[in-house]
Amino acid sequence: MTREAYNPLSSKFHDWVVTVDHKKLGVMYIVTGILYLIVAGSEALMMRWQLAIPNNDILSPDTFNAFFTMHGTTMIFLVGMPILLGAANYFIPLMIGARDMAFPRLNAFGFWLFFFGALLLYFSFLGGQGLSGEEGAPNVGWFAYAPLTSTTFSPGSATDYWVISLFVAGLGSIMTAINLVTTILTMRCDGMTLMKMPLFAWMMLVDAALILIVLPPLAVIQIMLLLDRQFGAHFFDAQAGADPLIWQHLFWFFGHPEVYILIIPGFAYISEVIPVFSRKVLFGYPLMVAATVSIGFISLGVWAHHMFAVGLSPAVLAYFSGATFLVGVPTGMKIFNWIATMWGGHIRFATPMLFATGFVSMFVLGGLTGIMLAVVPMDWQLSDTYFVVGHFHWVLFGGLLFAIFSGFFYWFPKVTGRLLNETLGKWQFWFLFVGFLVTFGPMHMAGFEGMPRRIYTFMPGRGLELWNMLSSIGAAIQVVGFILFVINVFWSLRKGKIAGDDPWDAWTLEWSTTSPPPPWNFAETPQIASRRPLWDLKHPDDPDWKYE
Amino acid sequence: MTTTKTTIKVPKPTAWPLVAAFGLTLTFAGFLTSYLVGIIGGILSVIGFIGWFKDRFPNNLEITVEVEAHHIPAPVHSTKSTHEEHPHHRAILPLKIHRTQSGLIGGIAGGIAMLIVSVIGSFIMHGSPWYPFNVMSASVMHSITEQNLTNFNAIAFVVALGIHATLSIGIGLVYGVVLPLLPKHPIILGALIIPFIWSFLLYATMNTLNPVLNETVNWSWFLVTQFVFGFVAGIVVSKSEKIQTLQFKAFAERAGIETGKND
Ligand code: HEM
Ligand SMILES: [Cu+2]
Repeated sequence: MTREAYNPLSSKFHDWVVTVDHKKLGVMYIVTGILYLIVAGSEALMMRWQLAIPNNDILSPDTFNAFFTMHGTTMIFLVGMPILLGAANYFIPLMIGARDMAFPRLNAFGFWLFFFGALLLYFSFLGGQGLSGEEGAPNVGWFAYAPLTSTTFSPGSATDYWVISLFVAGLGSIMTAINLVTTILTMRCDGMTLMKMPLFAWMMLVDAALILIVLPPLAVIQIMLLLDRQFGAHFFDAQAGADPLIWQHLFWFFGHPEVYILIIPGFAYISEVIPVFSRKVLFGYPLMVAATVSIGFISLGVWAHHMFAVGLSPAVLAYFSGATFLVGVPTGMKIFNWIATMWGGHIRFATPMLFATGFVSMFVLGGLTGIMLAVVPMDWQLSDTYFVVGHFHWVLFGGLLFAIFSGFFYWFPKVTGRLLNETLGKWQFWFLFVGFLVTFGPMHMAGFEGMPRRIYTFMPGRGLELWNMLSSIGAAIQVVGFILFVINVFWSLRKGKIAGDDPWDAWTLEWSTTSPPPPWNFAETPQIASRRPLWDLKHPDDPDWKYE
Repeated sequence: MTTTKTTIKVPKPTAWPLVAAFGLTLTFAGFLTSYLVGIIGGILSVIGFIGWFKDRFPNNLEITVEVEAHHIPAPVHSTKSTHEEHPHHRAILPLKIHRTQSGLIGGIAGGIAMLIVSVIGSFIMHGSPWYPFNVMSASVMHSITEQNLTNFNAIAFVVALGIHATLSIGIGLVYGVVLPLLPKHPIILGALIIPFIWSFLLYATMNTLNPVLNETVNWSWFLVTQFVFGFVAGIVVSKSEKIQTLQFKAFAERAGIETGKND
């Protein structure tokens, strides 16, 4: 077998469709995620175009409803989820020195469920009949509150598309989470105790566990909603004596942990990138593990901070506000640990590190606006305004997306054998960074001025023109960054610098095999003695295991 | 590179999971389209699952791949410009810090210097040394009003001294920790930048927090006194002796159970 023959990127269509190899499945997840990123990004651009000036009529109100629903749903379920599952799929076995995931066929099943579920969601543009009977796609918002989702207010099948496609895709995520937990717990190579795993593996373990805990409840309420809509069950029907608020509780019991399911992988990527690009050991590894586990736990008990405005009792308000503040503690510990890792290091600001530092700085700010929203009276003022939109884009774009790009630039050479272009990468970073600030910063101001979220237009003379215009300009700046990224990927696949096995002089096991790795990952299954096995190999005179 | 050929077994590539997933999706899509689609989906998924299980039972279908040995450890082909590793790649930086006392002493020294300057300023501008004490205590004492700011008030004097001492020592201790972290220009940082930042924050928020108090403060003079504090505290702290952190000592030594060697 020649090396060309096992390059996963040069194999034929048929090989991809029938594959059970964790690396190919990982690549398929990520490529699908990026395609949907482009789709959902275009939806956002249309919305920003509509909102650039008051009383605009680029999008009709109904189309606007469908667009913000599809934008949010897509970004969370079809971009965030597949990219994080794909990266875990690809790198967990390599990082823990295994030859594949624990259940290779289940892995394929999980991917295809996601893939077909996603297609089904977008098929709704053709198949569903929405609010007006004209629009095809779901239009009830990404959290689909009752009673809007009842057949009275949402006739047609657009809402059923939302329910069923996400249910199917969610089943896929559950399968993959089972696979990840099993793989991490049972397939580590010789010498890799839990406390010697790369932090990436720890964080994905917690992440997969969260998926297992909260996605089944989501599936359950989706089935309940389907029964309501198709068979006249009355789970969420106020007129039949049900309490529509129960949907909010159950949805956010999934929804809040879900935002942590999305951000913990971001933590995972930059926890690998920052030490390598600072040339220092990660500061406080055991504390990082503890912080991740406690974030996982706490995030299960804060959901009603999304519901402060529904009229909860003071005791409930106080509990959920306090519990939400508590998340800030382990999160803050992580931020200190990343900074302490960089402190006094020999920092190389290559593109992965640029994005990682962008992540740390922006995530701090996003966390702070979150804390502001956790203050009950403040939330009463700001809930359902553009301030909330500003907050979560700060953490999801400045946080998750930056971390994804950090990881993408870091591991692309491992997956493809070629480095991405650094110059283009840096330009991309700066366009995205500036575009991000200009887009989402003003949203906080518009929110303070009282602009509600999810409105298709606004009136002149209410102090909103400047902020909305700025947001739309920012979106245009971002477009340049994304285009540079796409160009970079296509260019580098052909012409990028050959990476070699270990272009960043890194320390975890994935860099000890070839780039791209062969189907069997490692010729001999590795044996390790410390958290930085490659350091030990490169510096036999000064190995880490003496110090851990 | 060795040429020993080993082989491993991996699961045979299979389309059955795909068929099962597609079938399952169609089954549910039946709710959206027609029952026919649902039934076809159901049948497909059953076929898919059966196929998948037959891949597994009675025999686990596997293919044998020939493993080519490749070099471990990998020769380093790094984009890193220098091959010199960080000398303290495992250490908690900074390696040397000030003693706790130096922050304490710096705070006290800065506090005294600031006190002297404020009192002199008060004499010049208000003809009485008591103005700053009264303003400071006004943040907690309701009895102080704009009319009696230049009179001597014993309680206000003690309260103000207490607040001033607490803040000075607190900030001095922070200096003790922060200045060695940024070893390049400790005096500029301590004397100018940090006082400027907190003065600005206070200036920006005071009008909202307490507009009446805000009226009584001469902000440019305020800034001068802050610089005096920062300058004196900064010098005292950064000139004080630095000691090694205990991170390279064994736990027993750090805990004071053993004294270790004399070094
Ligand atoms: C310390 C950290 C955080 C705190 C205290 C916090 C707090 C909050 C609060 C109180 C809300 C509800 C606002 C409202 O609807 O009135 C909210 C909304 C939201 N947060 Fe956070 N948050 C934090 C971090 C994050 C992170 C890391 C993410 C995602 C990666 C995130 C994503 C979201 C999203 C998506 C929403 C809006 C959901 C919606 O209504 O559509 N947050 N956050
Ligand atoms: Cu939340």
